[in-house]
Amino acid sequence: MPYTAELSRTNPTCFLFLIDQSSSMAEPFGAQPDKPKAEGVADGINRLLQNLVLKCAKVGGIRDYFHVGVIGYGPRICWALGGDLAGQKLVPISLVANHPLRVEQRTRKVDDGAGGLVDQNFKFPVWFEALAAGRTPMCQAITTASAEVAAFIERYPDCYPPLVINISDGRATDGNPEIPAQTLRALQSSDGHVLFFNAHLSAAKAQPIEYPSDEKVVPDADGQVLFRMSSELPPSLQQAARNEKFRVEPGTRGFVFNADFVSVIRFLDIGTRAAQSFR
Amino acid sequence: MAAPSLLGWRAFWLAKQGHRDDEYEDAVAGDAAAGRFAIADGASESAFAATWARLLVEAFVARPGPWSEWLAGARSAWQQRCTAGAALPWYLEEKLAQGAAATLLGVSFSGPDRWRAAAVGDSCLFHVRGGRLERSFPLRHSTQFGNEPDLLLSRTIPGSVRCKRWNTNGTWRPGDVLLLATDALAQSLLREAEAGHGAWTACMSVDSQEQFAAAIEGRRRRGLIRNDDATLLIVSAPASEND
Repeated sequence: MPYTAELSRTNPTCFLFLIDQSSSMAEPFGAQPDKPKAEGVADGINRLLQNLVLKCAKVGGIRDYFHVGVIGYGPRICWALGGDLAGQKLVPISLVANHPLRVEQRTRKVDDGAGGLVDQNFKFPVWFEALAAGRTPMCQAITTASAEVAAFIERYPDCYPPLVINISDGRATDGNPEIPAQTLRALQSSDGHVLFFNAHLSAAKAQPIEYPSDEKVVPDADGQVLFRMSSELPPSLQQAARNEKFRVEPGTRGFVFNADFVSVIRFLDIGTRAAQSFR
Repeated sequence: MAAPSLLGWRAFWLAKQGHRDDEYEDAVAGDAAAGRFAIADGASESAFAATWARLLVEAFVARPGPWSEWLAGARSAWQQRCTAGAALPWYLEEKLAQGAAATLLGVSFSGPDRWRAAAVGDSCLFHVRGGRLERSFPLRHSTQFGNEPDLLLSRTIPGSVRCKRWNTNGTWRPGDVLLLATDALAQSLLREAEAGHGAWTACMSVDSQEQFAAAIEGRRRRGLIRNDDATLLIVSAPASEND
């Protein structure tokens, strides 16, 4: 049965994020006027990387169940992890863990156990920084991702299928992205085809449309293109989405339209729950 | 109260396939003279689970009486052991703040012919008499095992769900055997019993680590057991000459 391969240090999987860095990403989310989309996405990616590191952290060190990479597309196509990892493509999660660009001190509210909230300091590592400039060369980004994912599968032919998540607020300026998306989704390991999910960000104050199964519910031609580019959710992810109270139907795709900051975070979280079985 | 005389115990374990022995996160302890035995299964999501599982079984075996009398001490000891030594990297600091979690199953003999057991989570006890399963505790069927068993936490986290502790007791006759197994092995044994070919006698006869490892590896190859740490503790006493 596909999408059931167990993750291990000798048979890891990979997560690759394609981040739109075009100038429109400087605009705020519709529902959060004080949060530029580029900053929200950067927070989301850093938070996700942190969670992936924590999933793999043991006393003896970090277990490399995942390799991860971030491709930014805007003024140019670039591998976008910063600091010591600048320019590196897919890297094992242990390298990510030990080479953040910086570690910020942030504060969060936590339950004080007596019905109130108290401030708690925590460390927030940063690997990826917001950028918003230039056009939207999405096709080139997907083609770059395909080459790297193909190389990963050649190295780990039995891996849990790689997941590529594209986050964009607009239309590709370098062609029809459905064509390179088809090539990307056609790649496969012995455990199934590569998964390609897409999140469409919006400056409109509209409700997000999460995990649709029919492109007719997407009220926008650019959104429909992203819908068609997206893979259907495999059964384990359908369950993960159901657990988060999403309605999941046959044909449900890894796609969210009009995503606000919260739905981007949730989308990244559910998508990367794909591979749950570690060894 | 004294435990039955001549009570003996032996324990075997095998780390998950693909893991080193020092990555094994179950724990086992016993004291035949005190008539106390325990196994624990450290949750793999935590970073310091093996330490927590070990502290739990050692505390249970060493300290008769309510768990509340030793649990706080075990939690302090866990914190101390995890923070001793060099400064932790950011991710282990965060894991330390999240705490560790483990199941615990403890058995104590309360006289020559009675035992009591208490459990949090899905590590199981099987009471075998005459080669047949007399009692399975706290789970009774292979379908009752899930991904989220109740767990004892190394930190008291405000708002966290209180875990359910199950208690039972039983009688002990010469020749009886108690088998304590962590979840993957327990589920596999129950599944076989449900299919009508209980492996209780084979399980009771295990007497070397090599034999145990070969049996578990064989089950893994045939897909009869989940790939997880496996631990078996056997409590037995020779049948009396009159039996």
